[in-house]
Amino acid sequence: MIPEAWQFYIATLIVLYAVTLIAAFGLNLQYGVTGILNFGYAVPIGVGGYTAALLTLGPPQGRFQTYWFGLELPFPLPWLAAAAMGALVSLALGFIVAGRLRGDYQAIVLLAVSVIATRLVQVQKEIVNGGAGLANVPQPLRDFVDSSIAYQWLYVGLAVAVAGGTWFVVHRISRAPLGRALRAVRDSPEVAAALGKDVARLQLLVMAIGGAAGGLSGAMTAQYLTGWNPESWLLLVTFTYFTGIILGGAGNALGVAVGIALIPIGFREATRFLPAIGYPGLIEALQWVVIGLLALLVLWLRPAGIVPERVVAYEPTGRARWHIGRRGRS
Amino acid sequence: MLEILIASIGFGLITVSILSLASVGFTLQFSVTGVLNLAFADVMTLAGFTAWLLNDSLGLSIWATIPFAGIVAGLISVVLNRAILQPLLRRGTSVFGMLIATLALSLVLWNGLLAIVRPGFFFYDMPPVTVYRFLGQILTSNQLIFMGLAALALLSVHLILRRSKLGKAMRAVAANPDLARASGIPSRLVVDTAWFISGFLGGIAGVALFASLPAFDTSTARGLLVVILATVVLGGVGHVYGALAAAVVIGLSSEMVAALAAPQWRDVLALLILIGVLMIRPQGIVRDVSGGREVAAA
Amino acid sequence: MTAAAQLAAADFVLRTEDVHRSFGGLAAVKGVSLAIKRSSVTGIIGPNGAGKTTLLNIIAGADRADAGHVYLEELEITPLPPHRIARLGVIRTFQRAGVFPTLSTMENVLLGVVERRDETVTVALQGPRAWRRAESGVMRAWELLEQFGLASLANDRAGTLSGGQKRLLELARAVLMEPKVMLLDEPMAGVSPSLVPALLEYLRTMSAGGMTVVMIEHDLAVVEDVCDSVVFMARGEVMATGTVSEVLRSPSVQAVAHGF
Repeated sequence: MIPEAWQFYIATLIVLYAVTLIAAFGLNLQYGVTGILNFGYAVPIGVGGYTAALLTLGPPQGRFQTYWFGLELPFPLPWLAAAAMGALVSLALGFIVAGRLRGDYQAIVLLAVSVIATRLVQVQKEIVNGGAGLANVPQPLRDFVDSSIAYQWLYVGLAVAVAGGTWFVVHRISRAPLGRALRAVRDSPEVAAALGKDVARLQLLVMAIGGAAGGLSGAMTAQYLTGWNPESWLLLVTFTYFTGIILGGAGNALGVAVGIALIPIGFREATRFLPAIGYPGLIEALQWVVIGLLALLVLWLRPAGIVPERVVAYEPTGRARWHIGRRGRS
Repeated sequence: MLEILIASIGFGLITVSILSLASVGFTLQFSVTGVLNLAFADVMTLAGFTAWLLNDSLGLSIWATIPFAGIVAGLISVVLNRAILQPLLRRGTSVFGMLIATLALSLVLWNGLLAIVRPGFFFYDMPPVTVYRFLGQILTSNQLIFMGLAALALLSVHLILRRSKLGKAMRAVAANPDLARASGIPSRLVVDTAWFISGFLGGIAGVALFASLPAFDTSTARGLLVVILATVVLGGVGHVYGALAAAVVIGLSSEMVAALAAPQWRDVLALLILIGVLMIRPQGIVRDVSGGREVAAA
Repeated sequence: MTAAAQLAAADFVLRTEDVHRSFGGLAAVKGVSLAIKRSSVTGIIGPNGAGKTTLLNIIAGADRADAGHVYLEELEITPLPPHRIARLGVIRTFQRAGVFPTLSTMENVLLGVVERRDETVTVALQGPRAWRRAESGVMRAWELLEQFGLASLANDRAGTLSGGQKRLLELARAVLMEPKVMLLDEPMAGVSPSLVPALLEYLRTMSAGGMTVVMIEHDLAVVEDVCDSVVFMARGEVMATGTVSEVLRSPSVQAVAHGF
């Protein structure tokens, strides 16, 4: 029998990996498959977390934390609402950028939105308790099991199931005829439009789907950690996802799963066991330096990632199978 | 109300001088190399802390530190461009890859500095000030000197671009890099000079920004990035004189908004301007490049 | 629309009326009015900077005219976005071959063949069997790739093809889409000379079958070979229209031709 402390640790790792993957699959659909450099992906994640918190905390009680609204909805309504809100917010961002702007300008606008959303939430304390964030967020199905260790494994089950579901949807979309149209938009919006593809509609579609995944991921993280604050959805969070995705291999689910295991999860856990050196904050600063350097290194050495995107091969009989193409994407 | 508005013009002018230096620097980098450098604010930070080091531990007057800070920022820019960005571009890194790369650089510079100076607030030892009141404005002698320096720096850039051989070459490279290379303009020197100048301007902007505040930390200049982006876009990305004009508009209007409402709305205004400008001329912006990745070359 | 105009529209599948476009201060297209007959092959020739590609972009909706109108049969398509114009049956190719570099040659072709109603989330979630059903055009695509000499490259990424092969790929895709009007921007540039006659024959057959072709072409031999009529453009204006020999003999064309 594994000691309880280890069980806790392993369960926590699996949950964090699963909820991160959910968001990363959504972001990969937008960036890896469709070619939207969504530097604002933290926004639907943030909104999802707050939605789940507000729908479970109940009406504001006063002194301890201030927020608008507040309901006590049963599971799984808060998660569904979080996915819906994530999709809506993401769609709103999509209406600003989709089909109108060149890719790099899209990225800049989305980056600006992300930074400013964080700052507004930090300053406007009355909405979701500002920079301190919301605490004591109730966990779903907590009364369902007695021991806290059993609850850990229950959450593992939930998180893995949702991550699996997200994988299924995103994987099918990216391999279907729809996915091919999305990749066409990624490679060249101009040429895609000349073939009759509605570039704006396709971009909006993946903004919505990816946003739903982000919202769901935010909700599940917030309720697992029982708290949610602006630090949970900084631009930096999006950046680590991007680093994981390009390291693993943009555009395919396996690559994303590998990359996310290595960067946000593996890296953070590996450094957790370092002896505390220097002043508080030193290790964290050095972590960011290393993540930044890693991103540069990947772009330099292996821009297609560890698992490059594959192409579907057709045989003259009409049969189709997936294989690694003759040359990786650069 | 009106008095507040009028008084905000003075602050607006300070913002204008900081913003114009930074935006001209940012846009110059883009015009010559096509890189949107998201690490620009962090180079400003490095310059600001160079000045702090000289000012705090060597006791140099803040005015004496400015040329050093500018040169350090200029050199850092040249090195970043030569050692990292240009090699990546030569490897065929996509526009998106370059954006991720500059964001990564920004993280490395910011946190590298943070690891060295430690978290906390810093301030310059500023010379004592005389306060001037005129036309409803309250400005200190230090603020006036910074405005003068900014004007001087921008005038020098103007003269370099218009009068010198190098400046003309810079404009030629900006207009058409391939043609410029083919017609024998030594474009490497031109690119280096442009990045040095833009880093230099960013450096002065960094010192001016930090000096304009009671205290600063390693992320202070990063807070300005969105406003710089909005200014650069409003001025037409890559257009030096446009950036200058846009800095006046955004600098003044944002201080008025900050004075009337609250400081955070300044950033919202910048965001609205950014989005508004990009949405009004979608055609003009969509046409030249396709979605960050070029159509496969024939 | 008057009765006479309606009669005219029946003959002419594509018309432009006084189309203008300038970039900054530079007028690229100055009042171009053209009427393209159904089932014809029209060549647009002229020196570089004559405004040929700009005109093509405006017809295809990739660029907006400052003034003027473009009609497809009776329908004004001037204000429509490019994907709507494509869906109406106007398919164009690009000067710098418009292929998707990270997709395979076959996938590039399938993008033109698969119906729009199959590119939905619903079909995506139904799984591989539904996807393959949507790709029923794949056999026809194989035949055409064979004819265009691209079959052996079908599963290679399009970005790895040569310039000429990319053009062929683009042309093959356009052909498979069976458009009403095909707008080609220098389709034969870089294509292996041994393939050119067969391709031109292909275009002739298609046009005899009712398709209209408008092509920008620099190679006068190609123009003479395949085009029923020619439009000569210079400095943003139409200098002459007619058969190849008529146009080449016209005084205004002579003047421009000797000017460079």
